[in-house]
Amino acid sequence: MTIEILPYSRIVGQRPLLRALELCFVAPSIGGLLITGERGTAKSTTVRAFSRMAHGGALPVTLPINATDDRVLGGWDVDALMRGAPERQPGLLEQANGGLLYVDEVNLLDDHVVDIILDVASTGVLVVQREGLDLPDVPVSFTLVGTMNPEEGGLRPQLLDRFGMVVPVTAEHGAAERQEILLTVLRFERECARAAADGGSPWLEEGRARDRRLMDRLAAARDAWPGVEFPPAMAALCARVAEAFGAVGHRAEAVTARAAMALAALDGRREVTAADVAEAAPYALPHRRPDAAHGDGIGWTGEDARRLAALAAQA
Amino acid sequence: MTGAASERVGTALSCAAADDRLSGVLFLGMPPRTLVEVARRFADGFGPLVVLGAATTDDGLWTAVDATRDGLRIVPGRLAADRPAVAAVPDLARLSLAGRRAAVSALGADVAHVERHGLSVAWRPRTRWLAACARADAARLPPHLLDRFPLRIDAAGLADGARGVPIHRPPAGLPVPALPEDAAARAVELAGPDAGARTDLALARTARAIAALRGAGAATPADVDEAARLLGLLTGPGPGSGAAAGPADPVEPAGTADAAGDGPPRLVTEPAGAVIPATAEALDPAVTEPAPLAGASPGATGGTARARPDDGPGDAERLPLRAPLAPGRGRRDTRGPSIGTVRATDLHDLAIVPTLLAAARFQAVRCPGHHAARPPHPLHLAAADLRAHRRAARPPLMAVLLLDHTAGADWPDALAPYLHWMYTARAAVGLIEVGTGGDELRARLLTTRNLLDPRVADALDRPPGRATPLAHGLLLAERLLRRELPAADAVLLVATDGRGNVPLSASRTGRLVPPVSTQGVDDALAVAARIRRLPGVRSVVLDPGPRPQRFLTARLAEALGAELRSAGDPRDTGPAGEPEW
Repeated sequence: MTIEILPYSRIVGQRPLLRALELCFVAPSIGGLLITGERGTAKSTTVRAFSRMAHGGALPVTLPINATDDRVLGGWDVDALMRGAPERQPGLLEQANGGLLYVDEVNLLDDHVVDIILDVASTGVLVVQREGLDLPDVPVSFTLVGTMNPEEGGLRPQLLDRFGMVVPVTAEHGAAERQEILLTVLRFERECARAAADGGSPWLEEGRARDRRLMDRLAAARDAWPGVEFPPAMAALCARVAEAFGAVGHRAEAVTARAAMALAALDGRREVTAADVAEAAPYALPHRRPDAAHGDGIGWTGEDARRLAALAAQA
Repeated sequence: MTGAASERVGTALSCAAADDRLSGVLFLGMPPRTLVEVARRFADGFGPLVVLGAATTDDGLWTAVDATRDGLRIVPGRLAADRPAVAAVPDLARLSLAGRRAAVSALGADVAHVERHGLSVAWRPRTRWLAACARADAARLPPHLLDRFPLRIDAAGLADGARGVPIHRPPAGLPVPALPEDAAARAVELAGPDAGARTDLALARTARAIAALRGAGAATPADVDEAARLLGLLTGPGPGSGAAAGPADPVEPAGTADAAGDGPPRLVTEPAGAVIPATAEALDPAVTEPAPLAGASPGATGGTARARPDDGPGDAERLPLRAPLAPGRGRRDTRGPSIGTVRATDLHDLAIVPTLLAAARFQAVRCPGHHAARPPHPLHLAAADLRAHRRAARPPLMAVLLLDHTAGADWPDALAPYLHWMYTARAAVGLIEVGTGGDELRARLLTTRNLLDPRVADALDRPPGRATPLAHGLLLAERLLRRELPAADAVLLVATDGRGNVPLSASRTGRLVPPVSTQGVDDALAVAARIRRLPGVRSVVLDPGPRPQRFLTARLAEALGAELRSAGDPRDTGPAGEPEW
């Protein structure tokens, strides 16, 4: 049975989340995205819709919270083993190589699975030495996207830092937006039923056509990204911003720079500006501030935005 | 009462049958046995029935073993199937951790995944989950889990069981009714300004299902009103009465409406006749009055009382959705319940069946022709096949922090060294707050695996209330310590000025009857004396600093057998900023 997902271009609201996913696609070296937010904010739906759009209609390689080690790391194909044929079955980390690895409810993962992901993400190498298998050096590289509801607890600081960017998501509270969301979801369900009965839905097709046009733009930006100029003044700004917000480690400024380049590329420009840095920094900073390590919550306030704007204005 | 409850339950089930996106129905106040009977009737002609409970495991849910002449195959389990089915949870508050996690990951999802033991499956879940829960237990449910049940129905008073519950199916072949804009607007209005998309959708889908059951092609605002009454979002008379209906007013505990906001804490008194809704914490069944339904108040005119258990923080300790810390420090704890398996490194606490299943996969490789051999011979077992039970381990260290918000101290700063120590020691944390807003006569308890839980930070920043139920806070601490000991060592840190002005009787009954005199302080000292007798507890009283009546913290420390420390005293912290124990 085909699993229908709402077309990406039909998603209502959540502009910062959509932007963050697009930046991760344009610049995979950003290193992934953590989406944290309250219940019922379409976090999972948005990730699946983006993956469908960006990766040829496929659902993302998904690591569920019920996963066992053999499916994470890889092991034997059990059906083949039963027949006496020892065939290897690649694990999820290997299947995600070159693409996206999606972890829903990432803060509910078992600790030992988190340790495996941390190990592979930090070294870029998958070591499979279990159950008679000996694969000491399988290179893997993937974009890690995780969603979580912070009510159920935070992430260990080491795992938090592995996500290049973070985007806090909140529900739309305006009546008009909520009504649009409601009608869109119900329309989608109705159109899926129509497609199943009649062999197609113009509404869904129009959404997919819009997705294809967006993908053309994203692919062009991805091709242009390596050629975007990053002036020394912008590097200094990234460093000043990271220092001003007390970012732990050095990933914040690196991620900010890559994301700023992606913004410029999306806009068709060849050089990063202070405005790009100001737009990128709120994705790279919140989870690297000292407070975040001790569970003080990951967020970006109006005061943070004003401070950042003041720093950018001085550049 | 029985007829109304039966109608509500029947309508909810009929709606769930009509719309496969209404996949989670929670019946509050329904006895577990009745839930099973109701689920059996619902499943008849619908799909297979699966009953989940305290013994439900991940393997039991997601995978199954198919035994054939050629050996064993791992196949999708009862929940991992793209077909209509019914999952019955007789008591949601006692569902195992695996069951709770399954509900969070699969219930209402567009896509669900299983990646276990070689099995890799993705499907669109079509299972209907029918669950029951005592109203008093609802506040213990994680909000993330509760949110997966969009239909929450007041089922109290269903005395005849499942027999009288009417379950209707919509006319066959009828397309799903449309939802016009006016009905959509009404749904958003009735869901309320703080509701999220899930509530809007639950209302809208229920309204559509109600329209489908009467054979209509579109839902109307009246259908939305009926759905809202069913979900407890609307009080007031039903259609045809001529009286206007409106959104239910939230219930405010008596005495909070005239909060001054500033100034020293005042004793809370309530006007005669008002009833303060009980929280989920059952203090003493002998003296606690029956909890009224939230939303019921004198003079209410008919309609369905507000049935949705609070979606907010709540006062009670919430059930976790995360697995406990993996046992990895020395000897494996074999006392807790089995919650899965791990690869065994010795013969201690072996899980026999998982071991045999692990071995079965390799028989054809280890012994070609094994499965066809006659007579059959035993499995060829290797050390790598051994599996041991993974037990719900108790944390080695429990830190209980009682935080008195009315003590007038800058607690975040004063507690920083202790919090840092709790983090580095990876202590499980029990946080008891006294003297906050909300239900001011009772303390509130939160337990969490570690300090990273964002609710801990929220608690530290909470503003003070006007009353200090210190005795109740110590009582919660005593219960928590009794439950965790002797499996864990415990540290009790009481951050207070000792001025408990709420007697235990007031916390139990929800009524403060003046005069109070020193009863609150006396009750606190009595509970402290009991805590002192618990083995394995180290207690510290953290005094906020110079002020009148400072002797109260000294008396409390003496009763607890605790060390008395002063907030911000550098003599109590070491060079690394951690407390000197």
